[in-house]
Amino acid sequence: MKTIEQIETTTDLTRKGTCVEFFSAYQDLDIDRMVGLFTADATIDFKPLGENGKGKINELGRGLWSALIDAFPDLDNTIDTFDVAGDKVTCYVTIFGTQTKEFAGIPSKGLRFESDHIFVFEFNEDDKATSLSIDWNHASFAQQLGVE
Amino acid sequence: MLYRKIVPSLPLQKLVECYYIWENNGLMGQPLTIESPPTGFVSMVFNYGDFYKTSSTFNSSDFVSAPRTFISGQATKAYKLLLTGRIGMIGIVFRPTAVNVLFGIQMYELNDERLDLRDVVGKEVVPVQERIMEAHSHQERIDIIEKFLLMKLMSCKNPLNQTDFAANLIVEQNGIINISKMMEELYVCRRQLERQFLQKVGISPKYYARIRRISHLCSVMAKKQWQISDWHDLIFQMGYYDQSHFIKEFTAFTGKSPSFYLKNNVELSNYLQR
Repeated sequence: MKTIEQIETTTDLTRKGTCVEFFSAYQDLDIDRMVGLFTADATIDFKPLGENGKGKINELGRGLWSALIDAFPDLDNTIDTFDVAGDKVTCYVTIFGTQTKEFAGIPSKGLRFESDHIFVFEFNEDDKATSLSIDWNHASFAQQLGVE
Repeated sequence: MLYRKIVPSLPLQKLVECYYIWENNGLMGQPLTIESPPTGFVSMVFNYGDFYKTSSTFNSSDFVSAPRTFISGQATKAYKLLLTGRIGMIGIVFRPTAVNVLFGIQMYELNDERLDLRDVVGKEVVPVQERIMEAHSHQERIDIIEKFLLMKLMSCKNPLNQTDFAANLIVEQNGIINISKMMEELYVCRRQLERQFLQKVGISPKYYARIRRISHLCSVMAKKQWQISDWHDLIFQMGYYDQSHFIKEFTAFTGKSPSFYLKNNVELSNYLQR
């Protein structure tokens, strides 16, 4: 018979796999696959954007990622490591890409950015992702794209 | 207190860094807390002494019992062992990709975990565990482990590739290596290497190099018996940009400032020498 500790650990394994799948879909620029890993009413919080960065993954998330991919067609990521605490899996990820179109008011100068991001996935009892928060240094991001 | 490292047989040296035996004579009067930085290696431990506790967080009170026989994945931060009673264990220290190569495990699943070996590897490990418990000598235990690993190696269908080579190169260079340059020299695609690295090592190549460097740094400090006469020279040798970069990295992985870490270890070293 498994102990509670072991059951919790097994749950964590499934959840890390979901996170890896999310970033794999992100690399493939497949937004449907990314969004499909979350519950229908899952929420997103792009932290540096304040209140404007809060909404539903299926709406705000889909919209922002579409714009991002459109402006940075070679958008890519590297998972550095994970941290598991309770129902949350924190992923430390590097996001990078080259700008070819205007994004969020930043005109394209053809510059490349590489930025450390922290993604926090929250899961329910059924191991479905219910929320995602994303944090990054927006000033550094803008500066790398040529904003003075 | 006995702590002995043993070199593996030649066929296993590409996969196994070393074995170790750790024992004490009789019972310890007081609980002993040992802190270790992340080492960059993963291990399997067969405990034939008393159960002990471990903590993989910076919170000192957050200890949980380690299973009798366990596999520990890549540590991404310092961890602690809380030992009481009789110490008796034999461990296999694997090179970074070896557990994936031999057992096919996705290594990111094991990061900062100590999981019961039977749950991860399956029933095949049960007789190994039983024979180690019943063995009468260190050599007998080493022989049981070597036979088990050689059998796994013979049935292994995953030949070593550039990812294994890259991980071992980072180990050999003690993490003091330019990863972008390494990828260019190995003619590997960044995305492919990083994906395989996540599966085979558990983290990204750059993050692994950072861990390996901290591990090497702590090892150098230990060899100097925690007496560092020239910090600038040490920081330069370890490839950090400056003191600020060094302190930030050190604190991120150990949860302590370098000076506090040194003080703690001098005290532990004095205690163990008594």
